[in-house]
Amino acid sequence: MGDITELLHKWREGNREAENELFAMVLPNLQRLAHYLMKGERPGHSLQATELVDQVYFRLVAAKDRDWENRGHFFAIAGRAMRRHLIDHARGRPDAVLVSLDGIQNLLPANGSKLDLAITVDRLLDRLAGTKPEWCTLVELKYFLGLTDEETAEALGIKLRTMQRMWLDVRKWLFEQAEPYDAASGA
Amino acid sequence: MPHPAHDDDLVMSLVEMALALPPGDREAYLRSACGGSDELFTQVWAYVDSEQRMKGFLLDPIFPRVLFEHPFQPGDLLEGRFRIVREVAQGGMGIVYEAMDEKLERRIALKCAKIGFHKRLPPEVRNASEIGHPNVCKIHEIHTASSERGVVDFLTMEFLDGVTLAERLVAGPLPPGEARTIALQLCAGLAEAHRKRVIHGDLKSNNIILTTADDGTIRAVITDFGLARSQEALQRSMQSGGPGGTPEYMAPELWNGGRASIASDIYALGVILFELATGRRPGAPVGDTKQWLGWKPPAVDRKWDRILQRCLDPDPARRFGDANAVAEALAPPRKRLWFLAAAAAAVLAAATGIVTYQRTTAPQEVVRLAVLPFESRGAPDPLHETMLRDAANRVGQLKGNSHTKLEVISFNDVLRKHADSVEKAGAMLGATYVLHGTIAREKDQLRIQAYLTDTRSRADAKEWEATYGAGEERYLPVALASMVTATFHLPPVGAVAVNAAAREDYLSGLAYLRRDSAVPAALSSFERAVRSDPDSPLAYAGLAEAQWFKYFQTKQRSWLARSDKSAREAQRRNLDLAQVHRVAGLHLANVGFYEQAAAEYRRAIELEPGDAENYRRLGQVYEYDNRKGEALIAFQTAISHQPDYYRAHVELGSYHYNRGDYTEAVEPCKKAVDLAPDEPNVHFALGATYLNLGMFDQAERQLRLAVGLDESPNALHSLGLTLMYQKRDREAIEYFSRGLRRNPENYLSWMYLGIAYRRTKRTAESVAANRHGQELAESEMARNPRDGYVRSIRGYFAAALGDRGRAESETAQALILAPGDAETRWMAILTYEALAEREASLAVLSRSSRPQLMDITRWPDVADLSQDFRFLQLLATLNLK
Repeated sequence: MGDITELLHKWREGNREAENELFAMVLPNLQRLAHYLMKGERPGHSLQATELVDQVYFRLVAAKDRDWENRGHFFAIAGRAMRRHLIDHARGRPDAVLVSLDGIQNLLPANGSKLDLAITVDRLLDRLAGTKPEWCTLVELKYFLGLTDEETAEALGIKLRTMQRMWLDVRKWLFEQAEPYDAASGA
Repeated sequence: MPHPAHDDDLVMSLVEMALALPPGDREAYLRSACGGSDELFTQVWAYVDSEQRMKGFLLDPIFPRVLFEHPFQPGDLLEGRFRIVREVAQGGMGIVYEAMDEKLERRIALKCAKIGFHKRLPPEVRNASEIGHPNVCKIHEIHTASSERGVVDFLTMEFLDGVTLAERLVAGPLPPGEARTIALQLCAGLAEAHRKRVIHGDLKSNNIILTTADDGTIRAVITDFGLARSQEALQRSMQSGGPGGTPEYMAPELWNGGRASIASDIYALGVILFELATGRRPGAPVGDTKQWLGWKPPAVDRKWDRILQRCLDPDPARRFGDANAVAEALAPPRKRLWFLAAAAAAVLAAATGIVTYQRTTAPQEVVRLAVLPFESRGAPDPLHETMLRDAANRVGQLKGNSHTKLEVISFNDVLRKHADSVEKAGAMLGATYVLHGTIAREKDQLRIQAYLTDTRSRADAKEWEATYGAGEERYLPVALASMVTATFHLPPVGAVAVNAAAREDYLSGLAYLRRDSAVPAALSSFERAVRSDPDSPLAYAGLAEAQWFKYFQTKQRSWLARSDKSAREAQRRNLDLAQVHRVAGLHLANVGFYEQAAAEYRRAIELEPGDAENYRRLGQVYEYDNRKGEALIAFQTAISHQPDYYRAHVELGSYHYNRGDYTEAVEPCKKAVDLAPDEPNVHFALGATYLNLGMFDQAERQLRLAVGLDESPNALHSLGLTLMYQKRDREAIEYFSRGLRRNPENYLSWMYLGIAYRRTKRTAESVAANRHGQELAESEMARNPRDGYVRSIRGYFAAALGDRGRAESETAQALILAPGDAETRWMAILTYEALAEREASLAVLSRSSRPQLMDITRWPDVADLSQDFRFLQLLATLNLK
């Protein structure tokens, strides 16, 4: 196992390899989470994403590194991993290896179009990746990982209100971009 | 000061306020609130407006956020009896309520698991409910309630009105006197729990409640005994192998995958003592990293420092052996002069190796022992006093040694001063320990319960009970004296040989015991020895051991019962002989009490340091308990003591075999074959090793040799298995059937027979075999719930019979219980493949050795797995290493 502090550091500097290594650390647990969720277990019985990521984090990071900054980055990685994993799965890529798609449909509260929405959001985020990486991270934390505002603000290392404002900005942008898709899918 | 429109706090507060109003009022409110700043209004209104249009777009995460649910509400009535009053606290896994038991009209605490955590309580809790000690929270009962969430276990406990130690520490460090009082109470409570074989597993200042005793003094109470394990199990199954517990209280061995033990509880106790002494935690490393190398807790006040250093030693073997020892070290200063003797003790320890490590740095202890008159139940009997006087005399003759100075208070002094209670003996006679108990005559029998109690902590260092038949009372004095020698590691008492008439049989019995094939001969020799010298504990202990081996070989419970009875006969005569400890170790290990079994073997080693068998057994227990390093050392020590003892070599081979290091296992097994070619077991061990290496011809040859020497169920089984690898299923069926005729309780044979039937399309017979095996595995599991391997087999049967949920849960638990065991992993893989859970198979395989992966490629049923590209990748990675 690589030194996680160093990996996080490299990742912050845009090192893709470091990102992959970090993914490898987080992914098995996220898969488990997704597995639990997708199997349609009653929500009351599942673990929360934060709890799970925290556990992983605890396991990987030694005491001296347990500052908000690294914890935040770790959550960011987890959010990214969750997004990738879920989207890979939703698109039925051969290397996505979880339960069947039916499970996802059952899980999502409204209807199947939620999954289409996730794919749409993912596509739009790809457009933002170069210009507004922090927006991407925010969506990954809030939408894909399901963190609360407080947790997200902490993970990003910004004030709560600043985070909330940014979240409004991102949602607004995504909403405007996504409208045509929504209309097309009839939702 | 930023422009108002750029002030996030201001903007977002306004947005929030506006959105809290009815839609029609929002604009007017904002115009007024923005105080004429158009720019601010425009900005805020844009947000509010888009929020209105978006109708909650993206607000719900893709997976619904799980909000915490409260299992019970105030006013709820559970089981028609417990009325919830209020929620008192929430821990990592559980919620505690204050409740009224309306039946008994008392205030109780009620604890249940948080939603999302295990709904069922672990079996350890049942043991925890047996602990009765003022410093341990009393568990009343375990209840099972049916609710809409399914079946939920909850505990009712003593209600403790107070604050946790963690809360108390927030207010600053404790006054030294109070800290010491609390520390001693925690030691006493923990020692009592350990004596009852309950490990806490998650000791921390949050689990200590400070309350007030009836007499107004402080009372520290440890809560949540035995609960940690379920949490640990959950976390581990979720994280595939990470440790459970609360990081800053976790001993380093737990980070490395070890299981909670007395030693890890002592470590956690050390962290708490550190908090008591300083008001903060020692700042130990968190994680399974190299940081532990050379780590030492920061130095603290002289009074605490040595004790803390020892509690917090990263090496579990160097910590205090039990909580009583911690209490002794903490006891009033005059006691600690004996630290000076520690250096001498260390030299001695170096000379005797493994035996004395627990006591290496312990101070020489002064035991001032008083034997009290036993409390008579029923009619007073003058004989009792005579017997006790004899016992007191016996005890009075005992000698101390380099680590214990024994002073026995005369029985006459005890009687003269009427020191008839533990308290009085402590106060009036200065006794540090008291031997006391009850005695009752029931018809011809004398029933005795004896306790050796520490007068300071009130904890029982040893507890023993026995029933003597007519004419057997004469054994009592030696038995009681041996209770003292065993507890304080003193030289043994009483006759250490059988009489002349029994001598020859006894010695040949001992020799036969050393060969697996000679167990029947050992049995008859010891039976004769017992007849010739019925007073001898040794003859009975030998017989018990022979009967145990018979049980081990035949798995027939009747032999276990006989062995147990003989062991009791031996113990009634003398508790503290190596032979007696060896038998006790077998019986304890057989039901999963590994720590206690190890203690028995360690005492056997103290008494008979030259006997390789003691080390071999100690190693076995360590291995069961996943203490691999220690196990290996014990086996190697066994070989170095008696290099010609074939069993020690077989054991070393098995050790490697069990790790999946089959190549390593070959040499020790071959050595055993050289030493004892007439022993079927050695051929069996070598054959099984070859089998796992895929050397089927050699395996078949060795196993046929084993079957030729003795048609044992195990050898027949392995031969069947060898044939199955080669797809000779019809032949295999015949060998399994033969084995099962000899031992119908071999669930493993039922399992493979089931597979062989399935492969030969005999479906109904396959199902029947699985059902039968499942029943047997189930009852075996009930005998020793800590045996991960049996559990993994239980999981397989569940999968084969279509019970997916049970299969998954048993297998997950098995992997936690036996994390390093290759056979358990193998079983888990078969199960996961049967369930078509390839991911899970691969996860198990990723922790397996290369030989085990190779083994998989050879097993016909999992050909699909061994073709999986991820499997091939794994194999390739291992090849690179």
